[in-house]
Amino acid sequence: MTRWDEFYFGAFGLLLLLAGAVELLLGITGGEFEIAVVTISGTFLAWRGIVVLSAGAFYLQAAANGLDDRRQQATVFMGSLMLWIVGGTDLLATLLGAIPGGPDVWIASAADLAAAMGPPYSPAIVALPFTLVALSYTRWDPANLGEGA
Amino acid sequence: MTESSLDPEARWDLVDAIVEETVEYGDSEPTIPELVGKLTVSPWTGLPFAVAVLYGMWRFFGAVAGFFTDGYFVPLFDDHWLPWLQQAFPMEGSWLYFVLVGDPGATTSFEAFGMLTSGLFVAIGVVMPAIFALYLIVAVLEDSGYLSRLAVLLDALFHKIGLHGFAIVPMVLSFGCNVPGVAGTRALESDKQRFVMMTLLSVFIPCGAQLGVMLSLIPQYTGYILLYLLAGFFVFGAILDRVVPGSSPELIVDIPPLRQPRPDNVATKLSLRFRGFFKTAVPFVLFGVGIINVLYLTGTIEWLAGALGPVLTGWFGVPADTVPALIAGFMRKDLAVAQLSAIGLTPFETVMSVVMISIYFPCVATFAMLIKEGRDSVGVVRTLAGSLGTLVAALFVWGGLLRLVGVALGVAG
Repeated sequence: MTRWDEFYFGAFGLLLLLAGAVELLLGITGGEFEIAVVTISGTFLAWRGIVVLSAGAFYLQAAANGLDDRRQQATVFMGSLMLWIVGGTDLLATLLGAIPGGPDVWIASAADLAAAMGPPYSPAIVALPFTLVALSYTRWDPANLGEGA
Repeated sequence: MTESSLDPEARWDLVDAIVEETVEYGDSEPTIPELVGKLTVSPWTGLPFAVAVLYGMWRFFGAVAGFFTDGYFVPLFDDHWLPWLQQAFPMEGSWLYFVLVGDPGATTSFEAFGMLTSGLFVAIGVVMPAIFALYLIVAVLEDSGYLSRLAVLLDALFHKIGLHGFAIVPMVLSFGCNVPGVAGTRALESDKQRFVMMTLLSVFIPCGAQLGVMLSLIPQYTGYILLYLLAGFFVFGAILDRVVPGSSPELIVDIPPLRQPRPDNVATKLSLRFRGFFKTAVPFVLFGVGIINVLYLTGTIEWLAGALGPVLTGWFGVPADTVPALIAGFMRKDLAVAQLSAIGLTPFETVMSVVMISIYFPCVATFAMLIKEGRDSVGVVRTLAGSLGTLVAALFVWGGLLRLVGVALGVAG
């Protein structure tokens, strides 16, 4: 029987594969793309694309091999770590870039900061909340890990 | 019979007997950090993870250094310190004013190029935040146990040029700024390895500012230029490995467990390294600017521009108009690339000129760091002579080769 987390990370992995492939492609060709709250633009797109694509591949591979296996759970956790690094540093860069606030303003107002931190976001940032499920693998108890579904 | 008189076989039997008596074995489930630790040194999973970490490292470095430099030090120096100094410093027009304050009409601290304007700005406003960000991220990576794993993962690649896996750290940092990259060569063991890495970084790796300008002005060529420079990095690395005397020790590294970095450990490392760097590096950058000003005053730079003009245009096939940009490259490579955009160049001439600016002399801050770090490794004279020799050879051979490629493709004049 398929575990719910295998289904979850399988579907999530597919989406990440798609987003990463588009990022990589646009990084090579120099294009941009925006849909709803997601934007694929900016510098070093190809590198971000490689990371998102790889994280998606790790999720898919682990889900296909079965998440009963502790090593497959570690693979999922590693893919999540990669997204935390890329999404986290992208958020940090946006925040630190907005704080100085421009000429004659030493610290930007809360409204300006909120505006700077608003959407659209890169795929890695959008993926961040959905990766938190991987944290459940750090508490090892097979009985509690999503049997059924 | 005493233990010391036992032969090796008997000793091992004794060891086995002691182990059997004292050690208990049992099955234990590996933890997630242990399993992730193993995945990070396996190429298929480790290399994508390394890309993520290196991207994060570069992004963190750019964000933190940019926050301090662009957010606060640029306005502080340009809007307050520079105008005040230009007015308050006496003897405008004198050689002392030129050396210490620089151009009286300059509107930015970089353009002024005096010891107390550009020198102080580069040392405190540019290098200090860069070094802070570098030491912070390296301390975190060290304490997490990942740096050793990255070194093991990339060891085979860097062994081809006589270095080892730890060389990836200064290389990545140099894509942000060559100054912390050169400082980061301390992670390498032998004087030979440090010299080779410092030289390759200062010749072949464009800094973040230059990359930024390249991406905004010539995005369509930036990828090709980077690939060509990286190829030069490994080709000249392999040559230097054979030419430079000295040892290239194997990487023997104890791999610690992956763990959450301890803030007190990171703070102690950061504080010790940062204070040590700050006390010794600032004078080097200040005097570097002073020396260039003296070279300007004595007409040496102008003479160099005139002398190099025919050679550069004849060998590399770029117009003589690019010579001032090459000279400007010594002060700041990103501005030199920007300067090129104002000259009417063909696409190939643009690529050629940007490659030349990249390979050509390191910027003044990197040059000052080469002197400082060279003093601590093989010596200042040997470092500078070796680095300059390499950059001249790289400029003419690697630059000339690019022109040949252009001629073969029918795009070079």
